[in-house]
Amino acid sequence: MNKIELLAPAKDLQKAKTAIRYGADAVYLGGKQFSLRSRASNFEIEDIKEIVAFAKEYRRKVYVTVNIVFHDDDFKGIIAYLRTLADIGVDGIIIESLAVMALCKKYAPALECHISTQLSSTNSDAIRQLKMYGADRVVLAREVAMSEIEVIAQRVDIPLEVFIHGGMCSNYSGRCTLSNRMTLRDANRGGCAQSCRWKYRIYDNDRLVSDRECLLSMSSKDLRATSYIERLIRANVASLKIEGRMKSDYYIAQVTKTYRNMIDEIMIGNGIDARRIAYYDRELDKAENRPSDDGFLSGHADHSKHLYGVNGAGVTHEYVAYVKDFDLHTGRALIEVRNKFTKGDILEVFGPDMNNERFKVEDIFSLDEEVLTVVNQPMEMLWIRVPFMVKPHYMIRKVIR
Amino acid sequence: MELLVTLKKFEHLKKLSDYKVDGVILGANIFSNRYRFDLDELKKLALECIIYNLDMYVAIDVMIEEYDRSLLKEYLEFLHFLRPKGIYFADLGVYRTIREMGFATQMIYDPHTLITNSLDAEFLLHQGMDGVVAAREITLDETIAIAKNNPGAVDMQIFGYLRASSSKRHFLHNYFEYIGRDIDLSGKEDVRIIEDTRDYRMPIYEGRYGTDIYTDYILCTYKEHPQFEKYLKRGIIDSLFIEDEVLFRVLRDYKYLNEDNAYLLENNLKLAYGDLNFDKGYLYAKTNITK
Repeated sequence: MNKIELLAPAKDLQKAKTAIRYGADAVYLGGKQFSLRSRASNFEIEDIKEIVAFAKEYRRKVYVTVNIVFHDDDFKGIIAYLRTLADIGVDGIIIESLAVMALCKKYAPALECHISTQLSSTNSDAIRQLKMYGADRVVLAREVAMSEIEVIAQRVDIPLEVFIHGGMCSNYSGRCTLSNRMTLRDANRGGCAQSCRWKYRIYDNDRLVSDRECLLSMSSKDLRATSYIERLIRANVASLKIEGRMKSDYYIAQVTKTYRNMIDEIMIGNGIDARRIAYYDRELDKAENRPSDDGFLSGHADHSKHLYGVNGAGVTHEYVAYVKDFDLHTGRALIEVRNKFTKGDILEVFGPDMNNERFKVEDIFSLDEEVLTVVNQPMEMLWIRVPFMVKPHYMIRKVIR
Repeated sequence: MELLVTLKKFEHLKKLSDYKVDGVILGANIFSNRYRFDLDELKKLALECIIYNLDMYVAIDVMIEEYDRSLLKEYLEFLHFLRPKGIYFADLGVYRTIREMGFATQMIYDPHTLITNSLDAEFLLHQGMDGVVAAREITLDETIAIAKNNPGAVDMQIFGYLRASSSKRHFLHNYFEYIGRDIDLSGKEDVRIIEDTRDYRMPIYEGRYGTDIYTDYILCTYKEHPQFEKYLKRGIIDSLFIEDEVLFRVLRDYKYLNEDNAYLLENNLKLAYGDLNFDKGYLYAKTNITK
């Protein structure tokens, strides 16, 4: 089996580093300009420089999203920006605009140009056309079925990238302006209000035909492709992409680590069975916040792939602390608190090189050595006794169910 | 500017020829989510277009699935025989296939939302496309700039409901299945959705290829006509969801529309159909990029 890239999102510097530490082969992130996800923190050039240097240490790659749907005014400064990205060692850019690709080829040819899913590439003819225009990689539309991906991959000679996890647009990406109409916020320039997830009444002529208690929502379940990872690897897809530039550090760590382990297990063992897939699904349950399924990978999206009146799946674990240090002599971990936990709770630790180790909370101390029984101040620094060695950047979660 | 109308009914063709219409856009019940002409009807329409001296353009307005490529090729071979003046397409795969077939027809890219700047239009035209349709969600100034920078190659929808989203999902069918009601609204033009906290009454159309949602208003641009006439290659009147009476009133107006009467005719239209929601869309409403 060919090596496949695991590509993780990063909202900010810390999350980019987390993604790399937890097993991503590459990260994608947005700069302050030209990028969708306007609510994501997005990176200054200095931050991008820092993450590129960090990634090079780990021999990982960095891609920058330049994926707004450009209006004439948006091009101001684009050439200098592309040159800067190339100069600081960014590996590639993710674009919707073919004009930006042409500018990149001319002024910053060291950058690879990856065609964003916003171009909704659903067939091999479209992909071959994009290659002719100069694309170095194409991100497939989320509407493409697994069986189609296998055929497309055989018919094109350009690397393909496939979404495997995270939020799904219910409409073709890039071809939806519901948000524009509802809120004047431009869905294709980072302002999407997710109007598809709102509730709608349906009228057939003037007759109300929707259920008053359960209105229409176009909201889609999130994507989770665990059952398809082996087939995607065997199909010679180049890159498996996790969605979620708005997601938390914990989410990035857990999801990236789960897919990293899964890919490695498939590569080493030349396959994976249903029992192990179920295990990885349980791992992802620890980070989910919305119900998920396999989207269009299994073919048609019927009603089971929608969310009607449901917003969250309920997580099985809650992220409670980030490990900053560990004192071997006292067996105490210095932690930064994220969420409430109390003495007696069962906590689970995981890290880049540790899967899941559980312990019962016995001793909690403030930095002034005051003994505590309840922790509920986010970002507070505390000591907690852990019955095994932990390392900086490990994460601790509370077992809820 | 040439004036094109999307064709809803076979019997409209003769009437359209009586107005100042240069051509029609039509489609088949395959590779279009909204048109429902079968291939025999398409053949007859091609002949009628010649008789009535109307240019015929065919819309292939859906994204093509990999397994449909062979069927697409068959369909394009059929269209080749009909010799349409041009094809409006949404998927670059259609363009690629037609060029590989050596099918000489004008190829006009209409992804609805993506032609938002002059440089992208220029790139695509330079690479061989014959025309592009400006995005619906950009301003008048932006549209005119794209058209000025790419003379003779930019089209725009100038009247009708604007498509606000397009999905492969069958939203209505799935919803009714979920709530256990035996209701089938596919192919119906009089279905509307209203967001629970707003009043926008938006047409929703579910077809073979998925679901499209349209704006609650009808774009009406009589007053902007002088500018469009000067810079656009083709102006498109979309008849979808428009009552015949209104459509032919609009076509009559366009027959006589000029700089001097544009305001009067537009105001008269609004007065005549006070129950319809005419609007300028995004022409003067720049969308913003922050949340």
